[in-house]
Amino acid sequence: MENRLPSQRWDKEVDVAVVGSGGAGLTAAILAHDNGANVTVLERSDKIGGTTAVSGGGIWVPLNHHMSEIGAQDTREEALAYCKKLAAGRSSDELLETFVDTAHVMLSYLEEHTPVRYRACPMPDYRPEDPGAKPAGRTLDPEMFAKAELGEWADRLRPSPLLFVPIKIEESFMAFSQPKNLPVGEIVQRMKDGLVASGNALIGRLLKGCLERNIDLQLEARGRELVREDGRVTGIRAEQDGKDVFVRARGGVVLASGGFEWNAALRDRFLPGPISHSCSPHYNEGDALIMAQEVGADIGNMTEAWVYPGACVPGEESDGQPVSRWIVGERTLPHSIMVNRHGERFVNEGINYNDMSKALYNFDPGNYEMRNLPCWMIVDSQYREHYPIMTVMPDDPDPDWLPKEETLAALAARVGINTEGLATTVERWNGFVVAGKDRDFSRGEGTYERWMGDATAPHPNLGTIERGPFYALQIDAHSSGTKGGPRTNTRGQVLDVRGNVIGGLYAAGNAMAGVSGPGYFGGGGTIGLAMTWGYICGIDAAKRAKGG
Amino acid sequence: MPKVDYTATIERPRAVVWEFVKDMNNWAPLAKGYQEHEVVNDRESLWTIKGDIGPISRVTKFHVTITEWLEGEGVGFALKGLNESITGEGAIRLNEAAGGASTEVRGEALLEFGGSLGPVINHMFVPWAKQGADELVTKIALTLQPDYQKPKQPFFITAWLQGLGRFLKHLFTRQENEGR
Repeated sequence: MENRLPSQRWDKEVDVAVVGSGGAGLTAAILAHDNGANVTVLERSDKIGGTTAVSGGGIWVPLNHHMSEIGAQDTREEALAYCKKLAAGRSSDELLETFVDTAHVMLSYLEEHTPVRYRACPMPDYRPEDPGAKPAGRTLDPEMFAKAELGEWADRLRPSPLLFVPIKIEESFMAFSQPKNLPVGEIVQRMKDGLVASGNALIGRLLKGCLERNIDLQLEARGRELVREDGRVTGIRAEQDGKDVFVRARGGVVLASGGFEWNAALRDRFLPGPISHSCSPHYNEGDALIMAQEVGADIGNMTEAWVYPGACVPGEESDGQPVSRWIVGERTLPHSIMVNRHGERFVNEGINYNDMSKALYNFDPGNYEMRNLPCWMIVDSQYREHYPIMTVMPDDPDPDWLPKEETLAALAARVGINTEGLATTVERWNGFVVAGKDRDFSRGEGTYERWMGDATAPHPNLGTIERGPFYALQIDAHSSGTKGGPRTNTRGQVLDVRGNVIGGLYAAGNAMAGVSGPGYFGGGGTIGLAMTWGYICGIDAAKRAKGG
Repeated sequence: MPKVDYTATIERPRAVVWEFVKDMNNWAPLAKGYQEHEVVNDRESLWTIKGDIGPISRVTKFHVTITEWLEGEGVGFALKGLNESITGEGAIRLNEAAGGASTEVRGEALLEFGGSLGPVINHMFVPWAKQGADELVTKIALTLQPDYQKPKQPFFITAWLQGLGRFLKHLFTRQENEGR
């Protein structure tokens, strides 16, 4: 579709138009500005921050300058070997090399020129036993941020339904394994001081950087259609206040408006299994994907999403939607296992959530069903006495939404698990615990899961399931975003189906074909990639505006 | 421990207001986040309320027990969460005003979330609880006096009056001390 427009119909003319205000979008806006461009950001909702704002805000950056703070070291070769292994041949070496070579440059730039600040974090990579992996240092935690620094924009920061309490990454994991050791008084003081952490801290800092630069931020402005002239993207039609607004972007349009996890039709068309809930803003309906396809973009990595085992507390809502909660401690800590409807364990419960999604989406051709969905966490009273289950702390009363029975058989019958299967599995599991080794899935042997476990327990990840009452929490596949979208080159330029650049069109973050393929490098792997591509797109689009 | 209260003056005699307040069924649906309630007996009832903790809203079930009954003057109650670790107490109190032509209705509540994260949740719950006390009393006032108008005081006036009050108190306290 050739979409020509007479120049007099432009409502606004800028060098670079950025669609979306998450980590990718705001980074692109700042870099475009700092490279001489006049920038506008079009945000569909009435809040700034996108998926990044509701996230942990961590970024995974190999070779970052904070690693030395905790005695960690890195090399380009190690980082590349690790990234290539996890991308599993489904991303080009060029893109992975660009990421490894640019991510730390992006971080240094933002820390030198904007309020963005990170600190080293002792979190291991998600697959620490793989070649080139690191036991700590590549995941960085954003420094907390005083929201009041945003002035009248403070209320425009998208709140996170999961991470609205100002805590550090380490503390968030301590909340699972040792909830009674959380520095509660310190956390309350941070709240009284108006501090935000996690994704809100990152977005707050990026937003402040935008405000300091007087970058134009348009809220409730939804990008709907790209405008092309002579085969090149020259602008975008947005909808704002019920009217069409045509924005000319001389250097280009950067699509950074997230994935398509809230678009049921697109999910059904591309993803290999169901997603019952998402924790991202419900505005992520694939706007970027649709606009890019409309101008002939090639798409990639469409079957991948950032999927995690999740559950909801009935009646709990945020922004009019059920709150999707991540099942983290429940599957990592002692005295718990995860089983399918046949009563079988099917995965090392302690592995990173992205890898677990591969097991959740296991299709059984014999019975022609998703064999492991839904599944259940089975825990006993030993677990309940020590650890939280979603929002229920050990000393809280049992909630009515959590099935509880005195025997495993009664519990299985109640929730629909094969009774004999569960009995056999639990007996086998208890034998593994006594022997100190999970012979089926090696739970508790990896650095990552041991880091997530309870260091004060006899074994951080293993514990018998033998003391009633017993509890079953239903788990489904939830998502924080999708990984598929328009394919780009190393400059962030969107490619058409013949591999040619679509002039004037860029993509970054969850809006683009994910560079990590099916893999997830470590905590902050999504935002690290997103901000790196935002950085690349912002610079290139600004240069293009100047005729570069 | 979030403690909240709100007072409204209604241009109706206290006896009229009491007739309304003494029957929980009249005002329960006016409570902020009200979902349903069930009267168990004269003293006990079960309430379901949807409340906000930060950006999240949650449905909480309470067991409410009337602990104080002052005929014509007010009612006090205790509450305990059935699916959340929360306890508290509250009251609706009536005082005559304007020589008996009007009634001052005061709603108050003291709530506390328990558990290891209780202090954090208590802090986050205050804004919703404050709004809840305000909303309940205002709705009772509007039900009994449809033309009731909530007093509007711009923030700077409130702050100025509070500042003046503190200054005068300080002044008089100092004079008293100096006079001794």
